[in-house]
Amino acid sequence: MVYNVGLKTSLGPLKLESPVMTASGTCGFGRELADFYELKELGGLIVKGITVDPRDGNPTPRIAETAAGLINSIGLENPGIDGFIKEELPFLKTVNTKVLVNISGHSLNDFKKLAAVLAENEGIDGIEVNVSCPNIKGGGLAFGTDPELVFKITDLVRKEYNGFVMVKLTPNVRDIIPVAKSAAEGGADALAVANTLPGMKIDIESRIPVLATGSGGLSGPAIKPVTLRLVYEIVKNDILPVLGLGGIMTADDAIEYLLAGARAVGVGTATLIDPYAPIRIKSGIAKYLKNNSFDHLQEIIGLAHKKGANL
Amino acid sequence: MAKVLSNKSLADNIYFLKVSFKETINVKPGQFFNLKVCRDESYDPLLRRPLSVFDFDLDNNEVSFIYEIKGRGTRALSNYIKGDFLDIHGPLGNGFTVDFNNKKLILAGGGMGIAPLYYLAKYIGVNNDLTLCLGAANKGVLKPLVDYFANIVVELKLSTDDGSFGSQGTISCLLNNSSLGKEVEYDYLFGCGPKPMLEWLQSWMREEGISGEFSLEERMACGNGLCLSCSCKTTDGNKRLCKEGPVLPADEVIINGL
Repeated sequence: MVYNVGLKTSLGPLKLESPVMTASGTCGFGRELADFYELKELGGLIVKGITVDPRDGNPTPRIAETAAGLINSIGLENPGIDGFIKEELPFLKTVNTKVLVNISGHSLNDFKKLAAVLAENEGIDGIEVNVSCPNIKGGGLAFGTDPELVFKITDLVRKEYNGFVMVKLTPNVRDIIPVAKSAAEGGADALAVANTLPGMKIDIESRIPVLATGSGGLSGPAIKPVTLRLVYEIVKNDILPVLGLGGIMTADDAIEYLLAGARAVGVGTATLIDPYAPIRIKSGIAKYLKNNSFDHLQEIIGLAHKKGANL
Repeated sequence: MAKVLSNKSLADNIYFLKVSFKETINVKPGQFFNLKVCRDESYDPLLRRPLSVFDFDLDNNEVSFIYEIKGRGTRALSNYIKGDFLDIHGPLGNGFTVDFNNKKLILAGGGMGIAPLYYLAKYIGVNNDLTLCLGAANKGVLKPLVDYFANIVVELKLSTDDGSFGSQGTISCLLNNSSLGKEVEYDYLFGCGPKPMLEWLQSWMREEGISGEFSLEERMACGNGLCLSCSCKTTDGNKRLCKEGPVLPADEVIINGL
């Protein structure tokens, strides 16, 4: 359907044809979704998190369902950076949309190495840095909770990689502003707000946690108000352009993020329930713009800041 | 979308669901469908529920499932009535190998793992000699399932944990039992059931030198190979049960490998 409204947007230097991207870990490396629609319909594809070495991932059960939410502990199952370059990158070079590669490390050196290898290869449009994984040397605490480490990681990636760098923040912090500012100081171009929230489900029959690892990351509609508020707060502080994500199931949800000031949105859990969700959300945004007499997406970005909010 | 034709209780917490699709579909034994159980704009229960195909009627585009109420999702599913519409993805997954002719085949099912064997038995039973070894907790569970198999000409061997129907014990007693006929050389085995049963089957098959395949189960989200929730470790690396499975070569599967 054609709505004759402008949907182009950008995350700093990264130009997007439309505002809906697929979140890392919910779109594989693009092949599966390409069975459903042309990937150029997406604003961009943020592919599965890559680590230096291949990983088998965590034991199963890896997922648990909770009220309007999904808790996952997949454990970054991935082919490693070399496997990615060899097996997945050739396909990604053929897709006519923006491709961001999510990178995860357990040490500062991991991030440096991943960025360096990606810098040597053509065919991707940027890096999403996952700072939510545990810092093995730092006692297992997530890098993303420490502003100084977020600065160091971003700075390392920036020095190795000239292209677009977006840092994906964890919502599991007392104050997200210092972390967001650290990413900006480290040279990030944009922020993805936010990753999953830590969560748990216990099976009352076996009386143990459902997930084999005990706990995992909560996503889905259950977290939307939390991540939406974080987007609003970061936008209010005018730090970097924001990709808003967390529990977006419908166009209405995506529009809330845009009104909060996100320049683009990421759809994750919804794609697991309906692969067409990102496309449905994109056309729903266009329909909303048309119905409310807006000519362009840019006209609604940040409108919810007019009235202001106590944060 | 599929229309509910029937959704009835067969036994305590065990349901039979039959749906019809408007569009023409083709379903292989061992494939599965991913059913959205929340209604309209509700997000709860959030995820689809994967159910393997119990039976398929090609002429009428009708698919049947047998499921046990295990939690909120299957309970929500049990509330659908005739005439309701269900948002269903599928058929998904690879399905069983079905190109056998004049072979002696064992179909071994435990508990709800019996469900996918019915359509398989119908499909391959015409050209092959089938021995079905089916086990469940008790008569209440096993009898309603076994009744369906009465229409197919197959050799049925039954066991229950409490001995209320068939032999007492797990299906291991059916396969070890002299009644299996040790002089018969079996060509291939299809297995579906709980992990301890598959573990036992795997070692038994190795001892007996019988090859075969297992239909496996794991908590699943997308059903489309996107999320890696349902990974299964094999001798050939991790496999996604929703995409490369749910049926995998028995010898390759590393049960509880992850």
